Amino acid sequence: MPETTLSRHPIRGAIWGLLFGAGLGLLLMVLSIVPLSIPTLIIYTAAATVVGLLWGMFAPAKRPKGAAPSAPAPSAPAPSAPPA
Amino acid sequence: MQRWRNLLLVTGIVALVVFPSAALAQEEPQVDLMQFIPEQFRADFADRNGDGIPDLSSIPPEGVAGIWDDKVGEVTDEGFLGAVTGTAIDAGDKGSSLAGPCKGVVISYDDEGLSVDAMFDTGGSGPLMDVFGNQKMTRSNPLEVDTRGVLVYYGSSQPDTFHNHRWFLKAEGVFKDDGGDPNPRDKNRNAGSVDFGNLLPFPFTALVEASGAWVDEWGAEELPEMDAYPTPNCVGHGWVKFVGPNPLLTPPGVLAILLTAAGFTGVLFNARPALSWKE
Repeated sequence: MPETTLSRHPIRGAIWGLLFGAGLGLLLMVLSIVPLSIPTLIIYTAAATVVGLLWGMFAPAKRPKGAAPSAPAPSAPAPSAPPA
Repeated sequence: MQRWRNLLLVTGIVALVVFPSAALAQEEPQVDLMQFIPEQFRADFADRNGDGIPDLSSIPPEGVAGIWDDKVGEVTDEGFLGAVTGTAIDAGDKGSSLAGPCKGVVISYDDEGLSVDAMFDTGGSGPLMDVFGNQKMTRSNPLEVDTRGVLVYYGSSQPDTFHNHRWFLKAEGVFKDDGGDPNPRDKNRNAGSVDFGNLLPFPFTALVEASGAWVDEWGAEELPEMDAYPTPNCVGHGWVKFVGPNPLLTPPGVLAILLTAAGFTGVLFNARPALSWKE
């Protein structure tokens, strides 16, 4: 059974979460669903950054790409020495 | 079965006929703001959109504001109060206030000169109100201001006259302005206009909490935000909703969509932990 390694992306998650939080906060303000307020925008951004970071750490992992590398073929038995 | 189906059908038809007509029934204005327009100019302020608030004609707003300034400023305190009192107040929503002797009228217009919203205050402890007799500048009934249009106002502190006064006006997240005046000419009323179309670099939409204070005999020092101000003063707060074009087509709206889409896509597809085959 071929083995897998798990790589986590907390920094990427935090950066994308920051963008998402800032955009979502701004969108809700533009649509007048929440009042325009810098502290509120900061709270949305910070919360989404933390969620993104946690997502990058603990989200269900993507399956490995491509086919599993085939196991090294067992070496062929050395031809027995001819009888003297 | 047939009977129930027919009953449902009739109920649906009745609902379609009754409820839309009830929902579309417009409130009747209880204050006629046209009385503040001099008779010779009333033709230019015809209520073209039928909302009970005088509209601007196609003449440039700057010129109209000057006419409004002079004539509305001549309204006496008694005349103003007589014109706007006697309306039923819906005090259910306490989201706004304006305390003190300050009183006045505000009308906002869109870029075509059609009225968007209006409100007035009679001074004292009563709330700000719209022309339909509802409390105004609450979160559920904010003053709507078109960011492409013009806002005209008349304000007065009669019977008081403030001297050596300081004031500030703050809209959360948008701006803060302050000022004051020794007021040697004993001015106690003013009128003017704010052309948002010229003032703002681009239109936007937002719900904003606004607050302000105006204090008599404060002096030259800047007026801070306080829980209680020396009297006499005018202190108020409320909600303003900036309206305009489709919110998603304004520059902040486009930016918000781009950030949200990019962030969501990135979180979903670029930040998940990934398994890879061990070499």
